Amino acid sequence: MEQNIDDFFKRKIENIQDTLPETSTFDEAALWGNIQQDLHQPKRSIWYWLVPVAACLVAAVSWWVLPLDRKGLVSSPVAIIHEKKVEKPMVIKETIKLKKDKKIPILKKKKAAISERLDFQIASISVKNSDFSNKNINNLPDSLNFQSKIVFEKKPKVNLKTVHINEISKQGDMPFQQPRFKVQFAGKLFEKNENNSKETIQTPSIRIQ
Amino acid sequence: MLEAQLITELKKQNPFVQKRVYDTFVKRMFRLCVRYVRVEEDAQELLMNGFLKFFRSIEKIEYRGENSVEPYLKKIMVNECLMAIRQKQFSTISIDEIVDNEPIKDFSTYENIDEEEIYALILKLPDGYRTVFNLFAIEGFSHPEIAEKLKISENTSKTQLHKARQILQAELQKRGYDYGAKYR
Repeated sequence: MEQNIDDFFKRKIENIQDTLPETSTFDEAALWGNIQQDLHQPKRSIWYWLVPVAACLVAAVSWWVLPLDRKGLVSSPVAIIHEKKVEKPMVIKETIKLKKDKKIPILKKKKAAISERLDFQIASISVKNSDFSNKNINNLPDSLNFQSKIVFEKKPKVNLKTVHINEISKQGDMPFQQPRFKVQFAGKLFEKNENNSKETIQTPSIRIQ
Repeated sequence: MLEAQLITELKKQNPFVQKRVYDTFVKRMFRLCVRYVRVEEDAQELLMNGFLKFFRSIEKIEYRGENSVEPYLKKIMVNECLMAIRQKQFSTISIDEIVDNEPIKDFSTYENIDEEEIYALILKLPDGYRTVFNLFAIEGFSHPEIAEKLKISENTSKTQLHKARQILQAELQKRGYDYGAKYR
């Protein structure tokens, strides 16, 4: 039965396959025109697609590889932020320089060496330096690191006699020649506070008379 | 013109031969497309795409004796139609909607039915039934082939075909043609 119905329909359809239905609006000529138009369109060669793709690739690669000045391409608000970022490292550099000038490592060394000392003595130091008076006080070397020109010696005992000025004038003698400057270096004194076990550092003082 | 010559000229993209092939098969292929998609406008679009594919892929065709062009063209058209159907989503209707009638044993009763009426009966079938019936009964594909083409199971294909046949038979019986009227 099934085969019969299939054959029946197939046969009937084959009989009418070369004719169009009466109610059909199908236009053969118009369709052929469209087909012809599509068939004879000039074929786009592979270069049509390859060239733009290659150009895009080259542009993308050059953007990343070549050292272009991209600051100019960035809009102005972003550029301002960029400048601020650049300033920061410069400030850091300056501060580092200042620290280096202060010779921090030397101070540490001194501190470490001195910390071992438990006892201290106050020694009076006199300086023999004839050129001292000519030097500007600002150009003086750091007293802590000043070694070559410091001479440790005992303070010469000078027998001084206190006299009144009228007494000198009466005698007619020349007044006792006083040193022009009397410099007393207190030096750097380190005291160990036993209670707090902390070192206190006294800054060097120079007394000029 | 022999088909071997025809294929040779088609491979050369001879426009006159192309037109001749088009004229020979256009109505047949139009009917085929309408059987699958029902709407004439859709069928025209599929027909155009099918002919373009045929003319562009003619270099692949090898001459294997007479009548090798039409099956190749038909295959392209059927594939175009199935692609269109798949895009519209293959729909099936519930089996319960169909009433099982007594099978027709002798089709000679209906020989006097007009071919256009038979054609219209096929078009009236639901999409899923019509597609399976066209593929199996008219084009001659097997159930595994249909299942693969439509991405359905073989059993679904068989069921769809069975129900399509039942609907067509019921429609024929409704017409109430006189038994063997044509042959009296």
